Amino acid sequence: MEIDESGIIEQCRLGKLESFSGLYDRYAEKIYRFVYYRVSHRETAEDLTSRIFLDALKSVSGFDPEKGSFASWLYRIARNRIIDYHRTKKDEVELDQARRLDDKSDPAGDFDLRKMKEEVRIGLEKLNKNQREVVMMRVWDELSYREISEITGKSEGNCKMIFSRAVRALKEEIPVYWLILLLISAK
Amino acid sequence: MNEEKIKEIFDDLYQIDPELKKFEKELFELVENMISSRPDIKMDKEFESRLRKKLFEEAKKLKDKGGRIAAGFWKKVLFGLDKKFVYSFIFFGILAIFSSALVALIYPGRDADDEGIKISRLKDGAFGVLNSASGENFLAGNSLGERAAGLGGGGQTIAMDSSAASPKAMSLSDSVESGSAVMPPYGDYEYEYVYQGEEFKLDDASIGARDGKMEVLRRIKGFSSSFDPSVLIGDNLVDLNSFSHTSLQNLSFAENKNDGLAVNINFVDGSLSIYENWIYWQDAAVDSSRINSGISVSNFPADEKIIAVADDFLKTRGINRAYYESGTVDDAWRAYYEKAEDKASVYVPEVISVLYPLNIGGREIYDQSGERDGLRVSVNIGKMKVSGVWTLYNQEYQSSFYPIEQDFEKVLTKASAISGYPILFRGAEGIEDGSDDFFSDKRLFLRKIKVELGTPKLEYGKFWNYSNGQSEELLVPVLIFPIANPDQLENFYRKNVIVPLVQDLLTGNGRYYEIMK
Repeated sequence: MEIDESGIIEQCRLGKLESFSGLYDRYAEKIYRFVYYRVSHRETAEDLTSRIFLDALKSVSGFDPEKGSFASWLYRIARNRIIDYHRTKKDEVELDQARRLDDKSDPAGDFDLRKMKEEVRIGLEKLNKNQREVVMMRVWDELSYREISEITGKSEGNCKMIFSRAVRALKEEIPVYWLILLLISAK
Repeated sequence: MNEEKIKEIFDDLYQIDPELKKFEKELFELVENMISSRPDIKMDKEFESRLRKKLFEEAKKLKDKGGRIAAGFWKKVLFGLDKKFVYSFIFFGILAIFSSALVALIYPGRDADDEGIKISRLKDGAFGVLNSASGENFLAGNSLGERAAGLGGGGQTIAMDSSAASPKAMSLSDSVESGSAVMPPYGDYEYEYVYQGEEFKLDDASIGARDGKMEVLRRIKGFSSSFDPSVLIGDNLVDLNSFSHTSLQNLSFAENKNDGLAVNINFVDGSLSIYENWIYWQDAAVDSSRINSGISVSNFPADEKIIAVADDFLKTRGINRAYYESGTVDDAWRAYYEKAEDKASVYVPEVISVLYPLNIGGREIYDQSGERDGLRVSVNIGKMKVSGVWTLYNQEYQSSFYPIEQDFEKVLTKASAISGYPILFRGAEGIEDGSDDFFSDKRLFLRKIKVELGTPKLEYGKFWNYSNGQSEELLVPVLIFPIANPDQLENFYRKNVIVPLVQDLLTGNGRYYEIMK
């Protein structure tokens, strides 16, 4: 049985905020991962996830379903929180960026691109900021173009275009990947 | 992400840039690599539970104090049921009557009758004397019960104390009701409780008491709605109009499908249970292979898998988890298995219980055997499906302050009194004096076992007070003493010793204990 999301939201909008737990159950894990992929640190991800849901709880009564889905609205809050986090830290690592190998901005980070497959890391670093953001949302967060569009404020068509250009750019790098793979496997 | 989703990505892509189709194989591998590079991270269960609770509390704060929270149990439940069922309900005109009934039980936020765990504060001592029955039963149960059990006694006393020498592992076929009607292992032990913890103060400031009194909670049973059953049957079978002052006490319905479930709502008790519709769980109920189901220690699923099944069920059925902590699997059978000499004879449970411990205002709730109390979900291991939900109660309470014992030494005395009465078992073997008279007192013998108690913590314990022909469910402040030397104890499975602080209960116990001495 699917959770009656629109019903819960309607109840929340009517001030019956305890219903929010149904939304939490549905999105907690997804939002936590979304955050973790971008801050690479468990405690930070937990802290930000808490803030995101508290923000959402406080403002859910103002949520307008005609302006987009609840999921997009929630991810947008998450995205803004992550941007704030990086700004506060004056961290050069942006929301969309996968951390560079030489990045020491978050020594507490317990995950970084060193753990990624080499070809993916190199590929993502070749992409520009917009491309990386859309690729990560589409592939890692499994968001639809419509959701990505609502979260980032770009048109759906534009998001598709960005993704296709990103893939084309990555494709150009494929020969490099094979070379790297060859080198790695030869070790 | 599965292959289908990757394909979906590419279908979108080809609409924008059809030329990329020529490189499908390479691109497919590329995206697969990206996906496999995604960090495999999962949210910490404790964190998830903490945040849920925090959100629930925040929601309560945000809400207008004078308002009432909608609960929508019926909407929640009925939306998920077969439409014909819903329509039949509507036909009977019950829907409207019940919609306000099970407010906080399942899902808070639909009706207008609850603020999560609602507590109505009454004047001090409002529940009368608390030890009208339970007080005597408490420690009496903990001492006498063991003796009675050993001698083949029965009754409620045994059920209440049975986990002391414990039997929980032997009640595996009934993993739902821990500590109920189970047989303790045959033995000849006297457990001597010795406090080994740190200094512990019970003054007002240390434990948050008020003038030597603490808050006792009494769960409000039943629901406010009333219902005239005559609308259901009319006078076809019996003229129900001939019954007066009627109220609906129980409602049951069942899913008639494979692995279907049945639901029973007890309006008097304010509780709801979900269990198998046995007709459709034939392999579990009828199949003789149940005795040897193929489930063994080696293929028993990991706790996290069992919890995931239970979590998913609660989520999809819209059962509110705001009052409960993260689920834990009742692994008593494993403890029994580890200690068993003949491991092949240990029954590996086919149904296992996942406990979601209840937490009220930051206090943990314990039953009288010292185990956490809360929502229990049964998972059928063979099917990896939920086969039951138990102890789902309406969480609404009244509270009243009661005098407590603030002398820790006296509390310790009570703690040591639990099971302190010599437990005499007739030995099946090992006759000390060679007597072959089974009924000879010479065949009764004891072995003293020192049970060390660690520093206690202040929580709530669930007690029953039998008053005016009814049992009242109370949550009283208790000290929970952890057993500090479990590895040194033979046939002893109790994890904690629970001592109520409320004087009504201690006095009852003390009096009984003195008599026994």
